[in-house]
Amino acid sequence: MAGDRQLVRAALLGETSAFGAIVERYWNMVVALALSKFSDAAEAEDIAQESFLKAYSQLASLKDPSRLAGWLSKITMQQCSNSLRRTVRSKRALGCRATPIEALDEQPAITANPGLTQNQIQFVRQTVRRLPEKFRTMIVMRFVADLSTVQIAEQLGKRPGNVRVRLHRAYKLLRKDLAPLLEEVES
Amino acid sequence: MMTCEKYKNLIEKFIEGTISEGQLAELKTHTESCESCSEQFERYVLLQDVVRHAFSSRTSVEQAGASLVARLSEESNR
Repeated sequence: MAGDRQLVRAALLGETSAFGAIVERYWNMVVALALSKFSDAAEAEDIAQESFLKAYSQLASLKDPSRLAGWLSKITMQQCSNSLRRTVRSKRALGCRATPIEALDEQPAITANPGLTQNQIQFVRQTVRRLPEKFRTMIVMRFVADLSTVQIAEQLGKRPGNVRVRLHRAYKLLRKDLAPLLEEVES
Repeated sequence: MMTCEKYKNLIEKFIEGTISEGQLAELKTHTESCESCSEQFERYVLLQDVVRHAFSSRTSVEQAGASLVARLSEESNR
């Protein structure tokens, strides 16, 4: 399997299929990052698409292709902020008061997992959304993208020790807040 | 107790994604006979699974890749 560096190089030479491979590799991570900010699943996927299109148009500016995942995560968070600003602006234009993202109506989630009910899925998402952003990114990169703390540190340009501490804190918080749900799922 | 200390460190390494295959096999063997370590290990695996599923995309990665490539090709043909 080609590494990120090779895929970036090929995509810069005009091979769109190489960029397709990058999308396949990081699609779940990017969608999960957007879902960690937005409750609307369709909106999260739109943001993921926009993030990849933006990444494609700015690919030449990626200084270190081995940090592709970290770069994509920054673009995604930026796209989330832009989208949130657009929502607030359009609500103001319509004379509505801006609604905090946590209060937006949850869309029914469709998932391949038959083990979790819709309510449980929403509960997990809301619990993760309540974590500070620096913890959320760690959780998504570790749990969804399956990157190790060493890889996450490389991607984000942080110290591995720092990432380890944050991941363990985030895990501890999630374990506590999701304990009733985990027991329900286990039984 | 001293032995469990070693396996608790291995569980931490597992959480961090830095455990080696050999260490993982060792940890799994230990959890077969230690209820406390088994509980901690399984709790982590379940939590990871639950988060992964709750944050999964409705679109498969293959579909997403193909759709983005099609969009880029369309744009470059304009």
